Amino acid sequence: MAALLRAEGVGATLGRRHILGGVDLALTAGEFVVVIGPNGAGKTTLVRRLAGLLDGEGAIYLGDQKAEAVSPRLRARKIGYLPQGHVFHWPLSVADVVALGRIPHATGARDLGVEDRAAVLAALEATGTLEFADRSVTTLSGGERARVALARVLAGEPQIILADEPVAALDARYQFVVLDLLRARARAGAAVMAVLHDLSLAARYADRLVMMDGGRIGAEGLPEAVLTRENLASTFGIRARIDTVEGQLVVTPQAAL
Amino acid sequence: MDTLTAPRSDLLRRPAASRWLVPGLVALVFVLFLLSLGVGPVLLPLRAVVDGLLGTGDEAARLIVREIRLPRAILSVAIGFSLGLAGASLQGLLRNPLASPSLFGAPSAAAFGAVLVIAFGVFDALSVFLPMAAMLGALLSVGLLLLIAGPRASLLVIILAGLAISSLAGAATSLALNLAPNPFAALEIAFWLLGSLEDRSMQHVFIALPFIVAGCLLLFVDGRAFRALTLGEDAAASLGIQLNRVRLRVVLGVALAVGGGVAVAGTIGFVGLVAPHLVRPFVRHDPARLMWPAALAGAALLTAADILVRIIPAQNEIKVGVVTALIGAPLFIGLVFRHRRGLTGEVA
Repeated sequence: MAALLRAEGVGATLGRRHILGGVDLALTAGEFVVVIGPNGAGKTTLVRRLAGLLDGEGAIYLGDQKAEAVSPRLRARKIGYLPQGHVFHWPLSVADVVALGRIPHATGARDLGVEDRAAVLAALEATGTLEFADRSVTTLSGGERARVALARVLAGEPQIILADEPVAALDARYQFVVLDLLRARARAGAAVMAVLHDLSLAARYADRLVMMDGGRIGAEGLPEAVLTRENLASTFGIRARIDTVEGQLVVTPQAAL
Repeated sequence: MDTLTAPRSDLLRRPAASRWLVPGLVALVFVLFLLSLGVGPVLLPLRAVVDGLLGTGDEAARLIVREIRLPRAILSVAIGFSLGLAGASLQGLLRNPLASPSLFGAPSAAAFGAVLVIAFGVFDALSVFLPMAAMLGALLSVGLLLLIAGPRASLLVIILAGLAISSLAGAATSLALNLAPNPFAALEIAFWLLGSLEDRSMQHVFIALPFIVAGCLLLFVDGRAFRALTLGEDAAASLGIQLNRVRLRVVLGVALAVGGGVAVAGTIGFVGLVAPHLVRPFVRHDPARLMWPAALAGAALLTAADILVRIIPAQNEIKVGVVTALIGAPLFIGLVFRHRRGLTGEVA
């Protein structure tokens, strides 16, 4: 299947530091790609570069078009970007925040159209945020905020979802809820890429795993091919035990090397 | 299913209270505008004001209303409106309720620009170059501060830099007037530093209004961008907002609006801070819906303050900038107190 988003020799420089270089990556419809890597490996920079938020070397293609040739508005309709942190600067209601996801679809009129409302409601329902949709986002817990942030992205109905640490602040149950949602989007035909820290969780959800190492892709492929003792030692600098429990790969970090 | 989702979709509708906000504020501004035409050393009843406006009343009332009070009322509404809007825009751009044109040193810098032109007699006080010079001053200060702020500077940095620019511009204004060959320098200093709408004519209205209108039009463009910025700069950009253009429009819009106002009325502080603050709860903190109410609240505030200075008995009329500062500064201190924990945090 053709790639929805493709990066060729992509790199980025922040200040004078070369954070990212020579990354080739393709995201195809229906696929859930998980990015892992130690702190400072360039995961966030990669996501931001793919989302069109950073300039740098290499080329990014949206379908068969160069990303720069696509208008910011059209690009925004295709790519949903979920930044890490889930910060909201004004105490808007949850429903109003989720409705922000419809901005790329706005047609000049001020209020939301019928389709917009339907998409917002669907996103609220899917993330379990409908029940507190009229509350102010600044009064929410970290887990609730993370789900609202995801609902905002889903409301835009993007073909491509780039999520930077979507489950960072979540308890175990909502980690599953959020990742199930992202995987469901992939199964429904979207291309989904998420940065995760929990290696076992990454192995459980990834159709393909991308391991970043020093601004480059260190290893890429099926979870069992990427999550080897050697790779974990050389990239993360840890000694880890890798088991298969009930058909699932489980990574247990044991010590720093 | 319908019964379940139907009431839920109300979540995305505007609350009833906010639907009356803009019409209510328009009515308030209108009433204050009429009051402003009637109040002064000679108190005119509504009948006389209307007759004076239409030119059907007696000569004295016609002169007072049309020549003396009408320019003043128009300027207070226009300048208040633009300051409220400029405040709402800067707060939207920086995602912080403490931002305002004064905080950026824009009025002081604009005053310096205007004073420079007058003090050295390049052009007279009714030249179109006056608002242009004021605008340039405001443009420099706002541009410089946004440059310093960058995408991630803390509000503390902006406040300190704004303070420095204000002080510098204020000192430069005084210096320019001291060095100027003008015996009325001291009075002029008071005018430019404190702001007043006393003795303004229709000519003042004509030189200021085009700048103010252009500035407001520019500022009204970016409501949606300010709303998107609730999510931070990266997420807003990912929603298709072109932040560089937004920043440029806000800087230009604020400079035009503030420059036009300062050129004819001197520096009037705190309206841009107070007006958005007063109406924000009524629009559920939405930075886009805030813009019209904030602008109208600014118009109402400045017009009310300008009526107040005519009522307060004093030897000389109190400067309207003094009144807005006396009301606004304590409120600013209160806001700082409430947000003091956030002040060390990042703006972005």
